Amino acid sequence: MPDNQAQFQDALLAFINHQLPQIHKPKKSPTPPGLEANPDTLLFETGLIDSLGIVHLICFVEEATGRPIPTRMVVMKHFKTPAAITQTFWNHEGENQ
Amino acid sequence: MTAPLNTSARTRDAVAIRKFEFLDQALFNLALELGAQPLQFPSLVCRSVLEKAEYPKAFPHLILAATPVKDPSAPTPQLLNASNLGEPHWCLSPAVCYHAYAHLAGQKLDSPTILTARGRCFRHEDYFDPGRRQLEFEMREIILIGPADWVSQNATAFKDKLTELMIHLNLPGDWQGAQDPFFMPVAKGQALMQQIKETKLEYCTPGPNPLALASVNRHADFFGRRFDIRDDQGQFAHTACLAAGLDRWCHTLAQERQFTSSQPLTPDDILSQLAAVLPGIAHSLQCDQPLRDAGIDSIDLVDLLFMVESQFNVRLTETDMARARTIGDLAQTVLTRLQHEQVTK
Repeated sequence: MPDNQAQFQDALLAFINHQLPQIHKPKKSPTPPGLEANPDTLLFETGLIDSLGIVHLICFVEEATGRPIPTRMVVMKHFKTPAAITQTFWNHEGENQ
Repeated sequence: MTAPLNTSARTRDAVAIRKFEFLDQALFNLALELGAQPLQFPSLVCRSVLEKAEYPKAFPHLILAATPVKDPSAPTPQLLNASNLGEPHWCLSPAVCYHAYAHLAGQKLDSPTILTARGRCFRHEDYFDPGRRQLEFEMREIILIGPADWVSQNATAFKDKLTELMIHLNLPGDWQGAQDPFFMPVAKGQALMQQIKETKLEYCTPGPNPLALASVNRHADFFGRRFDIRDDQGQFAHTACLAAGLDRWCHTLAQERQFTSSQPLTPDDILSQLAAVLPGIAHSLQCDQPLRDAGIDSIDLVDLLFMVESQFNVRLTETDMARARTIGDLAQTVLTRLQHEQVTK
């Protein structure tokens, strides 16, 4: 489990770029092809995350933070980019546990 | 386990039918103003159409199938047993717009297309709440098919027009992100994506028990791809639909308490409301003028009945309307009913 916000974001990017493609490949290739996410990558507009990807992504965040994500929190402003996810779900350094 | 339903929809009496048609006419007029072509579709939809639209993946629990019996000579108790039912080729339409995509399947559109249709829809709901949640209900939909930008811009513009209409009809509410009853957990991702991308917005009534009266659904090129509908550039067409639940509109108008005795009702109030509903006639109306002399016929009278009921939230009978010879008579009837309601509360 990450210890701080920077570690969480690194783990999140590693999950999106390396682990998720092994679990699930979106039906439509991300645009541009071979795209790797950085903190500001638009996850849905680029096609990196699709309807199955979001389920895996939520599971990852829940496991990494140790807290369930209420459905009402699953909105674009919280999931638009890796930075937005980090800011929302790991917003108090060292107090996330 | 929930008891089986023994009714699929609320029965409409003469007044309800008139209200229903009045509301649909308002929506239909709006659709025509927006350039829609009217179409009428059947109540049954081919199973393969729903499968192409991936409806069974998202909402398997809502499907109602229409199927023949295998052995028509079977005795009554066994005739409709599951073991005597054949393979369903048809389903009851769960929404209107699937017919539109099937209608345009395989076509390249010369220009963006707007369609409107009203249809009976059927969903296997596990409880019945008359006017709010029914097994069978009617929707009018306005369906947009064309290039991505055109659909996006027009869906927003049409949503604003629809909002104006609902406010004009005393149907207050606001737009919210929808949470469709996707079948979980199979379609959990679709439900979450709908919420994230706000691909479906619903116009919900205010209060603790909100009711979705209308929705705007943006499908991107989902149906364009599945039904091979292309825009004038040869790209898969994008689609969106605006859907209005007519039963819910009627129900909400009957429930809304727009008027209380603290708001004085005068013949002039009714006259001004009448002018809004019947602009071609009311300009010459006087409070003491017989309604029929002013050119208001029996059809107009039912429209007027509906308008007065929804605007002032009183229940009037057709006899009340027949007895109301003038606007002044009508105002007096409404006032009497309101006072009676206050006393009996």
